[in-house]
Amino acid sequence: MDAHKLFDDGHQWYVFGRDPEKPEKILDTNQYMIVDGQRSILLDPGGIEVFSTMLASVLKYVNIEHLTDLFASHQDPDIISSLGMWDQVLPNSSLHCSGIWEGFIRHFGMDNIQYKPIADSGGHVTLEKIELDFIPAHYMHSSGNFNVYDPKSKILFSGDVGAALEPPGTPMFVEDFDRHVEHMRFFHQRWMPSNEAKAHWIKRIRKLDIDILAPQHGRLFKGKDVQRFLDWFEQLDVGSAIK
Amino acid sequence: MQPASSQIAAQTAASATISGHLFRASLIAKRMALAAKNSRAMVLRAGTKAAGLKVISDYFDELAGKTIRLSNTINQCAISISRTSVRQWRTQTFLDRLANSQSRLAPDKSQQLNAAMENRHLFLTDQLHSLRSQLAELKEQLADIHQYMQSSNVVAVTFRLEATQTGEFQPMLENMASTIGKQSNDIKAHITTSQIKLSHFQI
Repeated sequence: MDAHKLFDDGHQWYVFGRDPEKPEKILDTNQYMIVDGQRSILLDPGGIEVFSTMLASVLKYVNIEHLTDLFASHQDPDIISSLGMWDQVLPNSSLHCSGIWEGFIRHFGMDNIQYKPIADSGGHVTLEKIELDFIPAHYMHSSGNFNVYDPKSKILFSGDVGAALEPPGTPMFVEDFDRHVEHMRFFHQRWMPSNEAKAHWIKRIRKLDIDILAPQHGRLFKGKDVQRFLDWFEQLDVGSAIK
Repeated sequence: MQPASSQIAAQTAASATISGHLFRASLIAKRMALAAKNSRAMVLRAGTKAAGLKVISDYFDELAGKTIRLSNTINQCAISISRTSVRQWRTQTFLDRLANSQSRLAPDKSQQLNAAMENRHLFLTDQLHSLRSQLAELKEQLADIHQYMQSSNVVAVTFRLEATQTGEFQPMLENMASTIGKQSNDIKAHITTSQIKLSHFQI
């Protein structure tokens, strides 16, 4: 599994993905880790099939006792079906996720980890020094959905927003936005259910100062491509399955 | 030695299957209890001609009651085994994945996982002990119920022989004896299947 350091100034952001060993029919996912001294958070730790690789990858950068928090943007299996495994290796950690999913997510197996529900209006978590914001992104696509914004690094973890379906082994960052659009269009039209929710999310996100927009699938957006993405998404008609 | 994940998965499926068989056996036992009550009513109606059958129909009734109670207890036991198996299975899956992670890490990094590995191995051993004791209990209870059904079959033959003395009640009482005999055999078939499934547990 590839690992890239996205930010390193007092605290660090890593992205893990492009796993050549993952079973072929499993959708590739990006997992993120933010390390702040002796506390670290994994954002969308992934499905059970990538657990072994993920664990081996993250321990190259942090000690296991410093993995203190998990975040799940929503309840999907590619996001958090590894929970039953993390629960056994990180019994003292906390999982931050929408309050509406607790009873559902526990089906993945959670005997030890503490569930910290995020209210619909959003919330925060403070690691050692940095504070991360849980930004509401409801119905984008899940009904209880959050992004994570780090004001210091100016990175927004956008979950499924900005995701692209591409063949394995693609680069980590968008290089040609116009060509990349074709890999995103179907995903956003089909998975995102509501134009109203989309407009609400864009309005909220435009207020943030973002250097990197980091989705859970596909390439990351940097610099001007972040605004290009928001502009493109704003004019896209979504909810295609019922049109 | 801990069993492999695939073996635990097979055990989980087997215990769930046993639970299903025992549920069906308990339904038959309920019908058998009803048949025993009907036979007792018939025996009372037959009066002195069927005096010898009263003891037998009481016995059937008692046996059916015992079978229902025992099959319910056994079913709970099979469900507990299934739950223990699932816990074992999940833990073994975790251990397999943890070993995979360890193999990809340098020794100084991989040793961080030793504590989790050890802790889960202890948990697995504990679960294995629970499973062994639950299986022993289940085996004993299945043998008991099997014994009941063998007795029931023998008594059904006696019932049929005694029924020949009851004049106009003979066809109905013989029919009841056949029903009870068939129900005993059906329960026995479910128990035998469960015993065979149980014998595949290799712990």
